[in-house]
Amino acid sequence: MVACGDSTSPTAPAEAKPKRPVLVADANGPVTVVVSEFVAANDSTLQDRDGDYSDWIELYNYGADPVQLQGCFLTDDSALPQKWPFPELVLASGEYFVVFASGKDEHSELELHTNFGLATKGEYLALVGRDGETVVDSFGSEYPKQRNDVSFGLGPNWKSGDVNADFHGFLLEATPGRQNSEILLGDVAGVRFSQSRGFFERAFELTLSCRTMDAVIRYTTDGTLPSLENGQTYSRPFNVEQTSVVKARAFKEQHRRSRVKTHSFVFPQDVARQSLDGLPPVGFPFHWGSNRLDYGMDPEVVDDPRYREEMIEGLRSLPSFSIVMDLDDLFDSEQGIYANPQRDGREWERPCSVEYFLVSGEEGFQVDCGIRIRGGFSRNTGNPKHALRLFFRDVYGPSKLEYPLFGESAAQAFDNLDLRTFQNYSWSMSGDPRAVFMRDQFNRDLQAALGQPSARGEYCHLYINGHYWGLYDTCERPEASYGASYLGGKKANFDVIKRGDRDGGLAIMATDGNLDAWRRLWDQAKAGLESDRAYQALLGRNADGSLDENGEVLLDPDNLIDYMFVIFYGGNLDAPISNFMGNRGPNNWYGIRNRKGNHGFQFFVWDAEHTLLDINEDRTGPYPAGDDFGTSNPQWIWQQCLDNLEFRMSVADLAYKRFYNGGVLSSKAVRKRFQDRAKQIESAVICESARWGDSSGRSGSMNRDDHWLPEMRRIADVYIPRRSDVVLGQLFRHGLIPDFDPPKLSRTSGPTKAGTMLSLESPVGKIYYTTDGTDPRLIGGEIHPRAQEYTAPIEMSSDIVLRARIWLDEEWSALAEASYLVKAEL
Amino acid sequence: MVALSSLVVLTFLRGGSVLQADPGKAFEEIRAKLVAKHDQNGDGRLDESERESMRLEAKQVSGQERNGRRGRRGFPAPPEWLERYDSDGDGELNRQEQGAAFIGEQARLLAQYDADADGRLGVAEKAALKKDYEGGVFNGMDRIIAMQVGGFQREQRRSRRGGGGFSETQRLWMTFDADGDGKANAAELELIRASMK
Repeated sequence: MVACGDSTSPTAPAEAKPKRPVLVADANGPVTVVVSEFVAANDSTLQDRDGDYSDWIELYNYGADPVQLQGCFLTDDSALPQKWPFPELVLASGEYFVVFASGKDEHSELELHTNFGLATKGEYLALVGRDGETVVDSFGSEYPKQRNDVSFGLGPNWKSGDVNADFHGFLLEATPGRQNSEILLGDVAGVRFSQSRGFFERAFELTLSCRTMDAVIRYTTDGTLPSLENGQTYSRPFNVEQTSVVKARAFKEQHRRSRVKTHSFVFPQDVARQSLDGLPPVGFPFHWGSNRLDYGMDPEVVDDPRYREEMIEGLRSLPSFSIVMDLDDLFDSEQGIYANPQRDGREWERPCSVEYFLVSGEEGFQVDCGIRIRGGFSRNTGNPKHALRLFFRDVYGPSKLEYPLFGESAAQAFDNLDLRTFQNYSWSMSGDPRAVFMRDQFNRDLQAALGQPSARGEYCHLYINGHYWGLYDTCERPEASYGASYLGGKKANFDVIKRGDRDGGLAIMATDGNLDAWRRLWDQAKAGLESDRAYQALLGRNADGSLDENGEVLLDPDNLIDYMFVIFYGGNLDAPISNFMGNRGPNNWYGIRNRKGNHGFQFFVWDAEHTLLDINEDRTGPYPAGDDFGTSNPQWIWQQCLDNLEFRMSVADLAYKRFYNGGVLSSKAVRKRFQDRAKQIESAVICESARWGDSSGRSGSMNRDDHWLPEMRRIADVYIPRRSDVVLGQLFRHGLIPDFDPPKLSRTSGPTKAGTMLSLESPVGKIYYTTDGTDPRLIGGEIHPRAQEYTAPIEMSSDIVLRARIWLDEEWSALAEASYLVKAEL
Repeated sequence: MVALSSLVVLTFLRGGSVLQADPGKAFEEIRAKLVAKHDQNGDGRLDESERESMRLEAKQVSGQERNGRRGRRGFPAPPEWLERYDSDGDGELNRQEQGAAFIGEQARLLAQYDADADGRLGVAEKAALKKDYEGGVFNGMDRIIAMQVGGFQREQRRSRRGGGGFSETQRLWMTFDADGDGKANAAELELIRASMK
């Protein structure tokens, strides 16, 4: 059991005390104990043993003798005075003790937890005596509405036995297990900045103000938290002439200090000249622990007449993130996350402020959040540019980032956010001439363009305490909150499966939910999927394709096929089966499924760096990874599914839809999409080259025109024009593409005038079609009874969803389909 | 004003070369080859059974990897490694070439610093390598090789626990850290810059 000051107590702020002696208390003696302090909206004041920020209640024995509390009660309901009975617990004279009001109802040697929590809106709270009726202490009929992380209780001047409501109030500081702090007389208003964050061309005078009379404003410009001991006292307006970060908060005695406000002021002309000699900027450290250090812009780039002007435009061509934080939390040898990039987990998460500016220069948002290093191989200390991950938690600020980062149609709230770098194919890590900063993002773009769920991302610039840190790429994380945002259902119901690491080896793990459904999918696939009964069971159907009322949907075949098309198109060497592991291990894949839904697993393109390389790359396998559950992955499921004719037909249908007639994976469509993305970074790449182009130490700086552009041209003019054909050929080789094409339709989908004639054409076989969206082919290969043989053009008099196939030598072509909205007049 | 270089980029971004139809000639060529190979009854096309036979063959050929053949590539190698170790000339380092590259690069570096040619680095030789390593002579993959040859990983791990392991330049900078806070202030930077002149 935990008493205040016990060395095993989770009570973080508690002062060290020797372990309390065993006391003998009179079980019938007076209960000289009060509820001295509580927090009903605990976000950060105190964690319990589970790491939860449970509500808590502090008790204090003001009497001269020890008190046995066993037999007494705590309650939040006046009608149930005996709601939570104390176990054996003796409070010494003058002792404080914290009980967690968590609702967990636990009595352990370590902590006490009541069977109720505390309502923020205000409710009854009382300590009840051993008779189960007498109220020993309470806050009247109910305590007032509570505030996050602000404790309520007795002021420090309260005298023993003087149980007077006047002494209750919000306290200046939560002090669980210690003497209470002063009662709050009010809150200090936030500091106002005369100029808000953004881009600037000219110096300006910055005024800080606070509406609270006699408040003292303290501020810093080095990213550290302003306090009464740290930073400077604001006394008069000052000039901001160069890129700067300012943090400010206001203080007043017996008042709750204001929240910290952070504003970054970025001067692009000044950014272009930052640390041209490579020396640390003012306030930055001389080393990043054992991590390779690299500061500043490269004069070879910023003074190059080709880039001098465009680079300034480039800095404003993308949205910008500005991270402002204590640089020791990044670079200190012991505690810095950048100085220890291979360390991970909550222990290696640090607080920071993140601001976001739009391209227009308008303010996006500012939040306080947690930050970690992210990535795999790129975490090595030889890499000076690390990827980062932001965590939005109520211990720092809002528990979610609420901002339409990817547009109004995407998720509006985020638990976390990745700021990706370009890892293996980058200038910063190894000076790779193949760096185009497009590979992963473009693969994710392709998946989204196929109409499948995908991790959205957008390019951005990053600043750390005002120092330019290069081109980054935001990325959603495909996890439970993603599922709840995009796939429907509650976050708690999603299984998220990925290849992870455990005990130094790879493991298939559930980052949310559990592995049970994934195991069932793998088990059924392992048993063989050649029969329709086995394959259709994965889709929750009977062998003939009809709905099985008791079936379980484990697979979304179209999603799997589209996912594999993206893998094959990119020639992905490291997902979902890794060539770097001899194709015996999985890597870089996520699968998501709602346990309470009726949808199969959906897969996500992830870390698609090793792509768009060799035009003839063939990743169609089959590969051994997945033969055992410990290496299971979506490609192995695909391989098993290929034994089933219906699945192969689905592959043929989707291949026709994706690769033919300007489909998403046709060369023209792919190149248009590639060029559209490239346009976004064409100027920003100059900034990346200035910051990191000389980082690897190769001879000369890498730059846009001499390095980025040639590789972009190779992809756009060599890879993309031929790659669709190469992949189709690979699919054909696996027997997945019939050797005759579907019928050609005389019109493409769209509005059509009534009376228009639709022609279907094929040089071989018979054409069967329907106009109500039914597949003319039945599962098993028979002709659908509603299908008609095409003999003459079809007159369109009402809306039509046409589906047609060729029937040749008892084989079917892939499906041709089109929708026509038939109108009297166009 | 749009710089001249930007016009070059924009030309690329607008696209230029003519794309083929979907599917294009390349697919037709691949398909024709496979049809010619697998058309057992000589009717000029692949029927379902012939396609199935082709599918199983493709599966068998690829499946050879199950019987011990490993993946072909290691990691994206720097260009000079390709020049030295891409023995089959396919523009990539396969697993064997990758292994040869690591061994070859280590041997190359060892020979460079092994002044007495005894096949190992003595104290003085290792110190010379370390001096260059810390002086920023090695970059990219060379730095990793130097780290392996010099056995600096242990030192890096140690440095994470307690400082050290900085480059000569960083050590020089730190001599100007008058207030000992590990960070550069304006006065310290001024002195460093003056010393650099």
